[in-house]
Amino acid sequence: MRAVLQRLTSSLVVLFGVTVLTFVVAFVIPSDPARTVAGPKADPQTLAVIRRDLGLDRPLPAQYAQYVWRLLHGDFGRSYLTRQPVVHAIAERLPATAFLALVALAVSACGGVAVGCFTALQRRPAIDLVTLTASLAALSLPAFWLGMLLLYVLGYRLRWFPLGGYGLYHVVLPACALALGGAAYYARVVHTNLRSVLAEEFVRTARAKGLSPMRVYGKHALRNALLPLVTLLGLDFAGLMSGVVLTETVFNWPGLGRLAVEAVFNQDIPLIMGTVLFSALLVVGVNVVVDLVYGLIDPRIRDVRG
Amino acid sequence: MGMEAAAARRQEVLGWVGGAMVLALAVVAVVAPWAAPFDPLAAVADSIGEPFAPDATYWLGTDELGRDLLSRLLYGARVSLLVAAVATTLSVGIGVTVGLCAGYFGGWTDVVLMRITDVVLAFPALLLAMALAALFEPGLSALFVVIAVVSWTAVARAVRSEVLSLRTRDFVIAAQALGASPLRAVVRHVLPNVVPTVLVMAALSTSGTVLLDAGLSYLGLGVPVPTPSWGRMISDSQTYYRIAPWLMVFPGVAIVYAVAGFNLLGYGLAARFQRRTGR
Repeated sequence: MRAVLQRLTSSLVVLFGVTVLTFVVAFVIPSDPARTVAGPKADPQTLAVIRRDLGLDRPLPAQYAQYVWRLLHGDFGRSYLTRQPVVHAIAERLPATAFLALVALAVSACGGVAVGCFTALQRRPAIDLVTLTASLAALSLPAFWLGMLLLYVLGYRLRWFPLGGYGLYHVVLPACALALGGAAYYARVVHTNLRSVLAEEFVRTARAKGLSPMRVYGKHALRNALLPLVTLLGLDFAGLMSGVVLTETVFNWPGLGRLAVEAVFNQDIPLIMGTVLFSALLVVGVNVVVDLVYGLIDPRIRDVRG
Repeated sequence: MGMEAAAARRQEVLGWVGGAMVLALAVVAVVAPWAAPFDPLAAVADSIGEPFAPDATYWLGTDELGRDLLSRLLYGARVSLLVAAVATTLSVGIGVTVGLCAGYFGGWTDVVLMRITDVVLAFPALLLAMALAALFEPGLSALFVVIAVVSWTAVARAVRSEVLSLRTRDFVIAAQALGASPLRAVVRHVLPNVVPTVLVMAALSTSGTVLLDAGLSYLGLGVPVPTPSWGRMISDSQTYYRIAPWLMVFPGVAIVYAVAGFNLLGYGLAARFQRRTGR
């Protein structure tokens, strides 16, 4: 319980830091924050209104307090191009990104676990080296390039999958492109963990008791080898979001990543900062959930009442 | 033990392979002006809008503007390696400083520095880099800073945990007892012992910076055109990928080669240091 509380407090501190960082980038570094908010073509009158609204004449801590106050009320600012509230733009795009990211996560977790288990149970000595090399090779592929290769071979040449668009069938290629890096990573972790778990006492005991191999591997070994994956999922989530930006651009997927890229091209700073801030909040949130879930499933933490 | 040592030795072989790959890439980057068959920026073939496939004259084909792909790839190696080298040096510099201070001084310094690290880690690296790139004038120096700012965290964490275990070792305590200033204790006694970790992390984070640079150039936020960069070549090829797939295949192969080289080098170095110190 205390450990959970500690993690929650440190997440709050990180949240505070995240807002300070986005505040500094959006309002302290630019020479004229009003122009950043209003866009390069704003007239002096609009600029004066925005300056008053942001309280740019007040000290920085006061400006920051107002910034956080507005964030707490769901006010992430407005896109200066469309005048649409940033929160609405994010809400529109979030489902597509969540869809893509969840499918990719499922693919990489299932693929990684399957490959990791398979290689860990092999007895040939070269298998470790082969696994390491293959996973390093997979980790070295840029997701956007892999996406284009899949698009060319499976989409254009073989016509198995559509070249673009949004839907259940359309998610396959982008999700696979996004998933490979994670799958390679998980495969290596499962491989290493399963190897060390299999060498431990309790597995030998389970075997000596005469339990079937299925039970030994499935119930005792695998469960212990998979636990760290949950933490890994949280640690890797920020990387997944980076991959989302590139994959969505390749496949023209109508999600958050493309929103951010469009915002950068339009120099729409409020929209960029809103998206960046939102994704950081998402990362922190996912990590809190992962911590809680880990506390629930790991008997070493679950059964200790502190 | 015997099996583990054998496995470590096999991993070291991978390191040698990675080292050779990186070395070859560096040589290519240096000799690009002499090795490139054509001017990378000039329209040397009459292939505007209709890229030529690879042939005897243009080994890797030409792009939609009639430029020779091989020459552009070779020059692209220069840009990629330059960005990787400078950005990694900056980010390793930041990471080592933060990690040394946090680990050696401990207490509040450690808490504050590690929370800052957590904050930077909370941002998806590419998104934060995009936001920063949007605020700066596009150019090489902006690119160096942007990449360094988002990628120092792993080095900082690794160095910190290394220093934490070194801090209580006899030779450091002896130096402190003999009246060495904190700066002297850190630079003379702690720093030399974290060099192996720093080298491993530097190799691994170079692969990260190459990927990040490729991603940013793919999004059009890398080195400004017309300087050839691998990521940009891939995004430019996207319009033509059906009729000219070689335009996207070769730059991608170049990126994978570079990233894999640095990754292998990093793992090889890690295995070697592990065997040497017997940990």
